[in-house]
Amino acid sequence: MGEPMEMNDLLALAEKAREEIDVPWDDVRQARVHRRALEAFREEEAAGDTELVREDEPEVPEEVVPTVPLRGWPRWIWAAAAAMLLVGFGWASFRASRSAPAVASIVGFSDGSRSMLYGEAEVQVLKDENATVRVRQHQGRVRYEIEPRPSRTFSVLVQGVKVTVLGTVFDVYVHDGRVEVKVTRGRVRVERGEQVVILTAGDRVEMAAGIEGEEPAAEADVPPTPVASASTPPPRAPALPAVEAPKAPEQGAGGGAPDAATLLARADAARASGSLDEAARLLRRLVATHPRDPRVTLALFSLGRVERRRGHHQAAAQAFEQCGAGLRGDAMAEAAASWIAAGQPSKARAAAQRYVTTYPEGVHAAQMRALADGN
Amino acid sequence: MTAALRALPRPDEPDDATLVAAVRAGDDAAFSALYRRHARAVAGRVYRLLGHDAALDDIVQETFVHGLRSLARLEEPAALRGWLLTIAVRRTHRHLAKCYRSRELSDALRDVQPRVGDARARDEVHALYEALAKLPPKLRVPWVLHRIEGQTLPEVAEVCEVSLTSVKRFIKQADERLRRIHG
Repeated sequence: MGEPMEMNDLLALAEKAREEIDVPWDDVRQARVHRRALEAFREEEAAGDTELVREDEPEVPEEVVPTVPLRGWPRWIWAAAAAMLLVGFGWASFRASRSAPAVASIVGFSDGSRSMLYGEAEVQVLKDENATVRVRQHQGRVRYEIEPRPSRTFSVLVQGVKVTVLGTVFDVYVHDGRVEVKVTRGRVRVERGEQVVILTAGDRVEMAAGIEGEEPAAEADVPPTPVASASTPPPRAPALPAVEAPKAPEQGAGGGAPDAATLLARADAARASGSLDEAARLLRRLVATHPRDPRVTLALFSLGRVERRRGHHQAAAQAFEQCGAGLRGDAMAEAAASWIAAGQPSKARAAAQRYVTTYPEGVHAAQMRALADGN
Repeated sequence: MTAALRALPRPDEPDDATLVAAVRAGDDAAFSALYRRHARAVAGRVYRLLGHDAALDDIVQETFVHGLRSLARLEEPAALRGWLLTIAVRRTHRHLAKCYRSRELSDALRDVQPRVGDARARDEVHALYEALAKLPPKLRVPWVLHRIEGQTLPEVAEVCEVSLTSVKRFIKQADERLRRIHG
């Protein structure tokens, strides 16, 4: 037997399995099992032996992180919060018991956001002001529930990784030299060195931890702009691959980092000249460095087209998906077409269904309805 | 309208908590509505754990029948999907353990492999599931839940009913064995 497979290769293989396995669960099968299940359910109900306690019933539901009501917090938490305010948000660490991974303590912030610490988790509030909230997480698992507030930047620094909140609920877990970020709702931006990735609801990223204190700097590169509201949640879509570090310094017209307009113009020029790799790189950089710019949707749509021309249909579909319901649904329809080209019909049907639901009278409605119906 | 379209929650549909209350009151239509809403998610998780679909129908059926009959133990009706997924994972675990003990699984996998959409990834994913079939379920299930399903370690620990330390150890052991098999 040769050398063991590299760990990164194994993780990539698991990712591939997650992305590519096509569950054979069509409408016919769903209906067949439904009939069987309903018959069995009726029979067992008729037999009268309800409320059986079975060994595979969970004690608590899957949502591992229970919601802790604001009312009823222990008094000491309020006292701790007050003490933090008095000392100007200096060092304050919160340790929990080393037993079960339950919520052990809660740290509240002045804007109504809060963080729930599990097990051995430990955080330090570096700053809690109107415009900026900054937290350093030293260890353990913490769930952050952040109040949407466009004028405020909320970031978590954790062992060389910076997580910037764009209005969301997410978990950060530090363990065994790795940092894991999982988004439940909304979006976050995760940075390590020059690598940047935007996570949306349902996404998870795990990476090797860096050095504490060497997180990417400055909120200045994340201009505060509106976040998704509860009535228009951002679309769930796989995150784009991490952005590669630029090969050479790129500057905008004023000598600083290029703005969104500059990047978009350069990407258009690259695309027009046939430099598709360069166009894709520039568009990804725009999305990563200006996530709240109003041109992001257009950049993602362009990225989808570039990836399609490169023959990367899955990446194209992911880019179109991230456009959400923008561009009058064209992106949703393009996503469905790209999923078909990528050989993933179930995802294509899902995208088509979203289109039909959102734009029942849209220009692509007939085509999407047929695709959603499996024709 | 297809079942796939019906499965999508619509604004005019009652939420899970309402339907759970109706099932508790003996409403078959509520049972069907919950099934249509959650069956695909349950089937997906079971299929990726099994790597084949020989027992998929049975496990999905059992999950709904027994999960919805035991609703009295569900404290938060809105968290129904998690409840069902946990039951499905535990049933799948038991199924895998039984097959592993009787060595049915490796025989079955000679002919049955997970369906893979992208032809370029097919051989690699099939090889992964062949390797997974050589692991005992106590290593395999946590590994798939964490590495493929994307659950956090505390979530895996809870679903598998073991400590966080044990989950870390099991996943590490699975990592090492899979890397050796693929080496």
